[in-house]
Amino acid sequence: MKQFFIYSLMILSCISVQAQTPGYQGHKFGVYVSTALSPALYKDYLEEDIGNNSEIGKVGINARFDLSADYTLSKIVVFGGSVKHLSTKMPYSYYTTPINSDVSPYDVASFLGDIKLNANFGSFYFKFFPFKKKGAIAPVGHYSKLEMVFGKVVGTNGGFVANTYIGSNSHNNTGTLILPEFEALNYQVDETVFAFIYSFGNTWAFTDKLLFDFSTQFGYVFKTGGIENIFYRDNTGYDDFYFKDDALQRLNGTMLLNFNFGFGYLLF
Amino acid sequence: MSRTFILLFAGIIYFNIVSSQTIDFQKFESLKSAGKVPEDFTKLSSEKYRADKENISSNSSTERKDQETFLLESNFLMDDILHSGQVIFGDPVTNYLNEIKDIILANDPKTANEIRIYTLMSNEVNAFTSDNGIVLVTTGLLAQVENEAQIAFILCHEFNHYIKKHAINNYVENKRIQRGTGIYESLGADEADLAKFRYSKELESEADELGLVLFSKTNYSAEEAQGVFDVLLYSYLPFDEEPFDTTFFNNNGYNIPQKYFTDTVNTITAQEDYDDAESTHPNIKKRRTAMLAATKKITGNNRKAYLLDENKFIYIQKLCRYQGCEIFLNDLEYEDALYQAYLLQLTDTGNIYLNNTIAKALYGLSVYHTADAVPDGHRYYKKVEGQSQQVYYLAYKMPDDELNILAMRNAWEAHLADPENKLISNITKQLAKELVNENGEKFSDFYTEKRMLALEVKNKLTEKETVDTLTVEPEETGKIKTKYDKIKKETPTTEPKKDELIEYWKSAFIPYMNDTAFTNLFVVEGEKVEQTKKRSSKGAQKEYHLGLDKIVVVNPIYASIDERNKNPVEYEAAESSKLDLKNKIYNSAEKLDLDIKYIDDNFIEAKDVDAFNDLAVLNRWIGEELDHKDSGVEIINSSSEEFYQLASKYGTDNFAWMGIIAFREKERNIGGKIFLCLFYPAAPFLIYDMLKPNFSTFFFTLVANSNTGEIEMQYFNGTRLNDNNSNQNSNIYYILQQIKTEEKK
Repeated sequence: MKQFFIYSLMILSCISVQAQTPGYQGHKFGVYVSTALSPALYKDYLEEDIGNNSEIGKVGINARFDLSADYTLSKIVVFGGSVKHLSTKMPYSYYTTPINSDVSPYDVASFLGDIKLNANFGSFYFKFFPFKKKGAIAPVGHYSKLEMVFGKVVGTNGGFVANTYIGSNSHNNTGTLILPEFEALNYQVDETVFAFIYSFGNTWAFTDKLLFDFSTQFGYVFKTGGIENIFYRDNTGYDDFYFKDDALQRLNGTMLLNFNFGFGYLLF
Repeated sequence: MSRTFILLFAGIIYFNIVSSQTIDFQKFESLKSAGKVPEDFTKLSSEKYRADKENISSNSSTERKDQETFLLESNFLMDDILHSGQVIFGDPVTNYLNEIKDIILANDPKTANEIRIYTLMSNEVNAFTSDNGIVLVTTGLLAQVENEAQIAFILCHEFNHYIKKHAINNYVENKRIQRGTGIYESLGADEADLAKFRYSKELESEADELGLVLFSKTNYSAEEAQGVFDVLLYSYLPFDEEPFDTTFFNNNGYNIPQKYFTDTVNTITAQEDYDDAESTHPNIKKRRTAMLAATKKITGNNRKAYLLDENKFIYIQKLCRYQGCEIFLNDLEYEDALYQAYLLQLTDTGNIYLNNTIAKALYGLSVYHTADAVPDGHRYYKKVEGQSQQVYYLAYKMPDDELNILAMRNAWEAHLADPENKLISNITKQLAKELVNENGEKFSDFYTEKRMLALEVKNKLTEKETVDTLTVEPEETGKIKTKYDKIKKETPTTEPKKDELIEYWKSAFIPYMNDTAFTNLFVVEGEKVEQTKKRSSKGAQKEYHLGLDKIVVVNPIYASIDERNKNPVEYEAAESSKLDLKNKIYNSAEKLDLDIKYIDDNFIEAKDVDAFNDLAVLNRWIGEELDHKDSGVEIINSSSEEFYQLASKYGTDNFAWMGIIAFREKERNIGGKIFLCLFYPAAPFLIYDMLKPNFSTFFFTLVANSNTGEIEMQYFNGTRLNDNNSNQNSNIYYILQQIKTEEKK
């Protein structure tokens, strides 16, 4: 990381020496609010038919909200940072946890239902405008963007609460206690996440100050727990680890492809 | 008493008017417009188009569409010509043409009012008529006609093109031929082309015929007008055919060897009965025969070659011939400029302007020769007919260094005769620089008077005076050699030729060898080479820092082309965008604190004749400059003198030509994008991408310094973006920022 910062500073110093920075009509500092939408294809169950395991395919949209600010360093480079908030769902999740038998006749408790994942990120990025190749002058026109994202993800109960189905679904045929609250599993999903996003897009200016931005983003979340966990799950163990892994996988899914729409304002 | 007073008063006024129009040919300057700027030059093209569109009467929707397209294109193209800097109004030539128009249309005030004549500064021998009544007559035509009656006949011909709406009819008929409708059904491509030419010839014949009817209503002599067809037949030749004096440049011991001149020039091959199948006009013979037959019916004893003062014709013609020199120089036709000035000098001996023209022409020839470049459209000397071929021959045969010396000699003579002329002074400097640095001559190479005398004495002592050789290759001159000529050629003499003993070019500067101003040129300009090289390498950098506070923005260009359409040029949209461009430029300039003066043909008002003339000067200058750039030659522009004068008027030396060209074309990689649609989340965006056109918008700017005549900035940025406001503003700001900011130290 240290190396990365040093290299970045070196690049910045090289490109800002000699070159003129026109910005947009002299404006170099802009703030943006944007929404990154990603398509989500997932399997879900009809609530009334939950016992029959009848899956249905659903299409959803994940939305991530960004607030960013950037500064035009030269006619080809913009540097900026952003804060992001993401909310997504792991539908019909099933996780187990050991419980104290004194409290209950059951030695395993489960949570069956939707888990809502909330993640807050911070990021910094460089936008590169292809002045030589496509003639775009930062901060408007075509660009490609490299973004480093850091954040934390937490899980809470989703919309589908499982306690309605105690003793009546296929998962509790051994007499498992179905916990109504996900938090009751005591799983700590407070994972630090590091992701990388590459985007390409276009920024247009309206009047002298307003900006509209559209970009297509491809992201990847690191620290996903390894690929073997995707294909193999050991039913004998407890699912703390799996849950973390699933959460990161889900997060990765939302980062994989996004279409970002944003509005900006050139402050100075 | 009062009558005498009135006559005297009228006489004084007339004298003042005439004298104010009289041009001093010693200090001839390019013709300029005068008076109120006519509406033809101030009204927007789109407004003219919309007004003309209202008058379309065709019932057929296809024809109506054709007519609309014609009106759109013709209005915009005519306005391009009107604003090119080559069309003038209110000048003596245009006024003269209008006087003839008034005579011809004296009985038809409605048509007289509808027709507007302007002068087109071109050496082409031609006249054009637009559908909305604008008649353009070239100075080349007026330089060649023999009398006023011939002008009148040509105008009568042109007026009938207007009256009979030939331009629009020709366009619509051509479209009909292209579509193969009606009588043109099942025509092949070649037959269709011939049909178009045939129809055009019919219209020309009609204009000749009706023109003669109109002509017959005047008191002009038809016999005198008949010579107009000779004017047309020989229009590709200069205005006169006088042998070029091969000793023209010789004096003070400088004698150009005869080997640089041809014994015989190419004969004139013009034929009047040529095959006109693929010509828009009937051949000259047909036209002449038709006219001869018709003129027999024109009777009347009072018919004259001149209904206006003959001296006026002579004066106007002289103006046009002088103007011809300017045009030839501007068009880089240096041999023609030289020959035209030579012809004029035969009657106007010692004329300073003509001396300067010859100096400029020789300078142009020398610089292009040294750079091994040829201006676009230049004629090879073997293709030239008539007496002017001699000049082409000389320019082709003379080696670079000798041509440089000849040019230097003439430029210095011109400088001595006109020391205030900054352009000639700069030319002498560049020629000296080229002589030293490019052609490797040293000051010591040239003879002084003393050394020349010594050499001549030595020459006499050898008593081997040889005859100045005139060895000319037979295949080049067509000269029939005698038996004895052949023998002489086969036994070459071992004796040195006089030219070898005394190299003629070394005596070129004898009269100036004691002139310190002249000798300093060799030293001072020779030293400048390093600086010049440094400056020219600076031009290669991509980003500029001119550090200017004020600049004149000259007539920005805006073109919009949508290649997906049948008629790809979007005239109206481009005009509207061009009008907006002014605000964008001012807006960015204001943010940069850059003082802008804006001259644009779309914002010229009736009172702005000076701005119109300035624009004409600037257009001519940049036109020539771009021609030089195309040829890759660094040369002082021949119209720089007028350009220098604009600096003090506008309070800055710096003039910027800016432009935007926007293209839209069909998406090409459709197959690839359809394949990518298999990745279905991206499909909506790919479909959008397939449906939208490919955009490219080009921004360019040239900044020239009128003081040095150098192009200081040559910026080009090709974007793959739509010509939307953000792209425009972004680029305009960046361009102006480069003009405004100084280089960081």
